[in-house]
Amino acid sequence: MAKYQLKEGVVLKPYGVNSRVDNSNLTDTMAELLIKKGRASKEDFIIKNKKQKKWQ
Amino acid sequence: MAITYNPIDIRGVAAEPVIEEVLFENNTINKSLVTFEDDVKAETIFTEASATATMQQFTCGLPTSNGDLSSFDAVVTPKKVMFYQEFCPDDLRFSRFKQSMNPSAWNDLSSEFERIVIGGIYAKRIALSAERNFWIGATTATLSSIAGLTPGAANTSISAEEQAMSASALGADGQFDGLITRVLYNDSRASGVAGLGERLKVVGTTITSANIKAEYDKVYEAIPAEVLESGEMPTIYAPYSHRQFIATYNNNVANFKDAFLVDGETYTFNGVKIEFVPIPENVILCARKTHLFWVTDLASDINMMKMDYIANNRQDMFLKNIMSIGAHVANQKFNVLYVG
Repeated sequence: MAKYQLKEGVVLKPYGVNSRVDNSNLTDTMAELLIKKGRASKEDFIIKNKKQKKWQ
Repeated sequence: MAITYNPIDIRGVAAEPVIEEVLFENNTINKSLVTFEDDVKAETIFTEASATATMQQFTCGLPTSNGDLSSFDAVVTPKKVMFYQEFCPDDLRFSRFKQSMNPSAWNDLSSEFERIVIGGIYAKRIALSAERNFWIGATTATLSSIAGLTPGAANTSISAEEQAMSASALGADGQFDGLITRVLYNDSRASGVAGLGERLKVVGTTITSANIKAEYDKVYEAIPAEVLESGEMPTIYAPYSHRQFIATYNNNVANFKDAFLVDGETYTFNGVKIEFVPIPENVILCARKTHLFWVTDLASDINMMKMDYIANNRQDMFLKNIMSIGAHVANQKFNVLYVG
């Protein structure tokens, strides 16, 4: 299951006006790359925490 | 598709010019920025040859064959595509365009509309669409193949940047693989098996007027020395925005002025010509023009538009443009692709 999901209505254009990233073509690698390069911010995403609770 | 028009019934005088939207020029064709391989009806074969010469010690007796003579063929088939629209010229009867219709109720085609909207804006749009698809077109199958590659740091691996750029900025109308797509993924190799392009990979960043020289330095340094030393100089193909970044960079008094030289419409970086084309932001391609091919049946097909009545018993009309178009990249290992 994907860790990153764009918030509703958020569309990114990381490579100019003719580029487009929405939830249909977003991957976790891409999300992390765009955050790292400053072309998206963490606030653009719903970040799902993958940490599992330990049950005793 | 009907004409979309909000006219005012013409009462007095209409201002002479019809204000046209501002469009880019198709410089790839107008200035022949790549090599045009035309007269290709269905398939064309590109042959690449290379050799290795190995010096060895002389022997009086039986010599040993040493070295390598190799070549391979790549077959490129341009895709046949079309632009087609239907419209009813009578929709313009109450507009300014009625002034240029010939007398008689039979005549409802405006010569002004034909000249400005069809022969002007629409024809330009077709040329621009062809150019855009030539540079950044990609089929969904190829995009899927690129997305399936495993990213890595080596030149033999795709970079995460190339993958992100491919997923978000390549595709256009999806009819065929354009040039940037072919640089990234193609079957133009001895094995004929499709795979990652052999381009020289440069991983970049977000280009601005502040760092444009540093990023162009990375591209320049990645050009194989033999490309600069022998014969034709390569060309840097950059997005349109770089014209403004270069001007801003040069306007900063603190910057070194001899890196980017501007002489009228000619832009160079360290003596390498820069051409501005419709490629994504933060992408630069540096290659010899003779390594990049626009494959087509007839280059002037882009200018050929047929307009006629749809049938003899009808008054609505069609506009049709047909062309074949494809892209090919040769000598891949000498071409630099920068993606930030």
